[in-house]
Formats: sequence, structure tokens, C-alpha cells
Amino acid sequence: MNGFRREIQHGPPLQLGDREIVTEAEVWSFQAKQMSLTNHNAAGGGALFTWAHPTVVIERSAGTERRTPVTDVNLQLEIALLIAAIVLAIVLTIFTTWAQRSSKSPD
Amino acid sequence: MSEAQPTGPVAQAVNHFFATFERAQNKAVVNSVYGEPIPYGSAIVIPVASVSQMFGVGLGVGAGPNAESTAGEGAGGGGTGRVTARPVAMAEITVDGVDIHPIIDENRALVASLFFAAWAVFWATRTLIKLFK
Repeated sequence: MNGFRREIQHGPPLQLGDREIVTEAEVWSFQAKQMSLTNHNAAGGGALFTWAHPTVVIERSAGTERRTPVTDVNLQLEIALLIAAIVLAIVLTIFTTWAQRSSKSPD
Repeated sequence: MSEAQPTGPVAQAVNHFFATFERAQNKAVVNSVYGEPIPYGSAIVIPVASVSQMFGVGLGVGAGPNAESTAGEGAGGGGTGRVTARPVAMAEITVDGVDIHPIIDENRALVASLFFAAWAVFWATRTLIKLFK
């Protein structure tokens, strides 16, 4: 099926005594494919992209469940810098426009 | 486009490619995100990574204008693929619970910081030029 897809996948449970450890990952994928058939010719092709990243490690014991999130520090830093870069550009543009309008006003 | 159902080896080959796509998309990738558990003293360590994969294929077959002759027949195809994995953390499983130790890629963080610094210098310079010209 063409298009984006998101799913949560769980790894095989790891049994440690009375505890059970289960890993969880989030998978994003995009797929596009096309096929063309005529009487004498056929052509087809497609592309697939998949990104999988860890989310939590689940620990189950005696009826309780504890979820320990797995943080991607590098990804968090890059997202923070990207947001800061966008905000910086917007703020400086607004400031420049405001300053120029203020200097041109008759007051 | 013909309305007839695709038959013959050409359609089979194209369908095989598409079936490969489906298998690749449905394949459980959680096993590539979390590595094999490694015993370390009284604890167990599981390496954790972020995995991305991409690939593309194309195929074309032509039978030529004359069905009774092989003149003009041809077939071609190609494909490419890439798989990358980046370490994210180490999961340490002890008797007390699960500890996650993040892995910081300093080179990657440095490159991102340098890009941001260059972006900030560009905008600061642009702002000063607009204010004082």
C-alpha cells in the first residue's frame, strides 16, 4: 500500500527470573510503487523508506509494569537547535521590521 | 494501459519486486533497533540504535512492435538501497530495574551546533545591516 505508515513493534520478551523485559520501538515508513502494463511493454518501480527508533523498555513483574523511556539525546539536541533557528529568524525579522517602522514614524 | 490482467514473466518479475517491498515494510525491525542481550557481571546490557533504511527499484521490458519478430525486444532494471544505524543508548538491566545510558555522538552534536552558530551569525549580521544602513 502506498503512503505513510506508523506502527509500534515489540521485541521478543526476555525472561529474567520472575521479571519479563520487553522492548518497544516506533517504526515510520513510506512506500510508493507504480506499475504500467501495455500489450507489448511493462514498466514498474517503487521506493521504500523506513525509520525505526526505540521508545521504551517495559519491565513486568508480579502484575506490575514499569516503562523506562529511551531518549535519543542527539535527536533532542538537533530538534531543539532547529526550533531555536526558526524562532531566531522570526524574532529578528519582527524586530527589524518594528525598528524600521519606528525610525520612519514622524514622532 | 491494457485492462487485461498482467500475465507472463514480465508481470511476475514486477510483482516479485513489489512483494519484496511489502516484505521489507512488514519485516520486524525492532530486532535491529535492540541488539542481542550481553551479560555484563550481574547485569545484562542491551545496545539500542536508531535504524533507517531506504531502497528503490525500477524495471522495464519492451517486446517490440511486431509480435512475430524478436526485433526491438529489450529489458532493463536497476535498484539501490541504503541502511544506516546510529547508536542511541545502552539499556542496563539489573536486579533493581532498567537503567538507560544515553550515547552522545559528540561529532554530530558539534556539527549541528556549528550550523546553528553560522545561522545565528547570518541573522545577526543581516539585522545589523538593515538597522544601520
